Amino acid sequence: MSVTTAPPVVIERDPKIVRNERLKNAATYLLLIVACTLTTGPIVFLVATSLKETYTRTVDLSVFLHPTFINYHKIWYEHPFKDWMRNSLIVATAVTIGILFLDSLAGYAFARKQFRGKDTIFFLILATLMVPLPVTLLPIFLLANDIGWIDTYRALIFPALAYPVGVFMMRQFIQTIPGELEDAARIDGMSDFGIYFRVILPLCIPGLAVLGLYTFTTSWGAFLWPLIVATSDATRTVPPGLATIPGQYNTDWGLATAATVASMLPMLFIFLIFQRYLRQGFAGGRSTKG
Amino acid sequence: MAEVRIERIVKAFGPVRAVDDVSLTIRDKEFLVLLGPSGCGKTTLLRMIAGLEEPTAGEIFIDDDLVNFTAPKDRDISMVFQNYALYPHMDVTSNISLGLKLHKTPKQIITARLNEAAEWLQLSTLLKRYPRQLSGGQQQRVALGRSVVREPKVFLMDEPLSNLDARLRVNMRTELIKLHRQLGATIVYVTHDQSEAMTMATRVAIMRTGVIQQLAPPLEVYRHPANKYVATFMGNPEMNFVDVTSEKSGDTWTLTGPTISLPVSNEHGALLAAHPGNHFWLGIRPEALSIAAPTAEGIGIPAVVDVVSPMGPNTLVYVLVDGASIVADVSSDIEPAEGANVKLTFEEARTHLFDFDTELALW
Repeated sequence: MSVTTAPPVVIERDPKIVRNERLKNAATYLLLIVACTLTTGPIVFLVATSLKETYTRTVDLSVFLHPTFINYHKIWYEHPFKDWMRNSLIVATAVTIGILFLDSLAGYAFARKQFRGKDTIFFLILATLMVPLPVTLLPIFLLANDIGWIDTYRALIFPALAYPVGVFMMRQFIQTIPGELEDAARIDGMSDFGIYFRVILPLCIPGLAVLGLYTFTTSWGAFLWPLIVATSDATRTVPPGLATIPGQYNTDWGLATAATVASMLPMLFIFLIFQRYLRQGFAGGRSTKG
Repeated sequence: MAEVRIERIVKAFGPVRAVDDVSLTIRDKEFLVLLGPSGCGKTTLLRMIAGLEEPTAGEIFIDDDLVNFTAPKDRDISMVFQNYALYPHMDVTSNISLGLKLHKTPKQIITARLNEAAEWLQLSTLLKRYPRQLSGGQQQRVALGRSVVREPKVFLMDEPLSNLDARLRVNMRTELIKLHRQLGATIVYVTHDQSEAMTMATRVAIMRTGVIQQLAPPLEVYRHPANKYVATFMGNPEMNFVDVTSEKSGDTWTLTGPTISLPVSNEHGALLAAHPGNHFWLGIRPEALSIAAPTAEGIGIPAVVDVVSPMGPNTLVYVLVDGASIVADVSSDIEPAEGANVKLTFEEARTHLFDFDTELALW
């Protein structure tokens, strides 16, 4: 049987609607361009200043054509910037690993285990969020002083491990993992720790990535507490270190901006490496179905 | 030999008794189905056998060993879950063999059992895949494989087919029956689907609010339900019920309702005579009813045809009797017109009778 049919009718869109949509798109892009300029502007200015030999108050993009790295050379060889970076890396890494371990364990317990006073303890942990840092600064400093921890890595690492947001985040994340997986693991013969390490942790990777990155960023940028307890370049981290660069009467802006840019680079790399997990983690879902 | 003996088991969640003083022996090589609606305690009972839930009171024995305080992994059981519970971050091979590895089974045995199970379940080409790359039916087979390679004494299955589409579910039923035969395994199977119970079970335990209502082979449950609840649950469409009272005139007993007067056999009459009270539910299965012309001879209930649903091989005819809906499951040759007056006929021998208050069966 053969049937001859006319080709399907093509329906043109109303030109008015097309024009309106184009206008709308243009407006959206304009807004985005303005926002981008506002956010990247200061960073461009920062990088530009660090590449100039003498500081000028103008934004002169031509500096990117003939940059000088003298400021970077200076902070690396004439200032203890290397030491600050090393200290920051040690402290931020230790804090991140510690928090990931402690908070995922605590989150697992709060998400899955039944024990007396569970809700009260969880509430108390969250309640500590409401205590501002300056309130605890003095008691912790006195404590650190009493046990001789001033100017040690320990003083920079241990107080930072108490991180209620992390406990909350991991609890929420672990609650989304089906309980039947744990039942299956238990029947397969895993212990509680086996379940934590072999089932819960692998499924938490997106959540751990977000928490880890957040922790690392916070620790990398911490200023007030390190300023107080890290009294020498042996333990001083980058942010309080940067604060020592401006002199009393004049500031070498080239030097200060070069140090700032250099201190941002490790974070940039970490973001680039982990951004795949970050998207999953922020979307709040696990990549695991079924 | 693998026998599970449950003695006076209770599981209370606060004031609610999910399982209420249940005693049950699951025999060696038996396919026992725990059947009931959601919330009847069937899954809780299964989880207690597995060791995932601790009983509030009572004892559980597997082969005469008291296992109340034995960890799930040491009970020599395996379990298939409703949503399969495959480890999403492990491939099929790891999912199936993990339990054996954790039990320190020698490598050659693991490989041999894995290959055997994979072949039987047609998973050989999928061994390197991850659960998210598998269809529901394939995931289901992996879950079964994980269960089978353990060669446990007892298989526990918690609604394993309910997430599959209808066609696959029917296929998997056959597979499970074969599995049961091949392995000679003891299987405890939880479902709310009476057709699964009907097709697969050696015996069915029908549960309601934490109590077993009847424990018998499926056909016996179907033919001789112990009470009105069981009669309603087994059979699709459900059994029809008519409110009747018993009367004796001369030597014969009669069951009388607003639209019916049914003389009963001597055998049934004796049961009525021995029973205190005279208020009953008369139960008639849809397939025991026939549709006849309103003028037909014999015992019957006058009715008006409401809706006719052809099913292919048979036709469901919904009729109104005195305002109440009754369904008859008849041959598809019969096509009564909607709104027509008919007479529902049936044999007295194919009726069921339940006490109105206790709902327990007389016959």
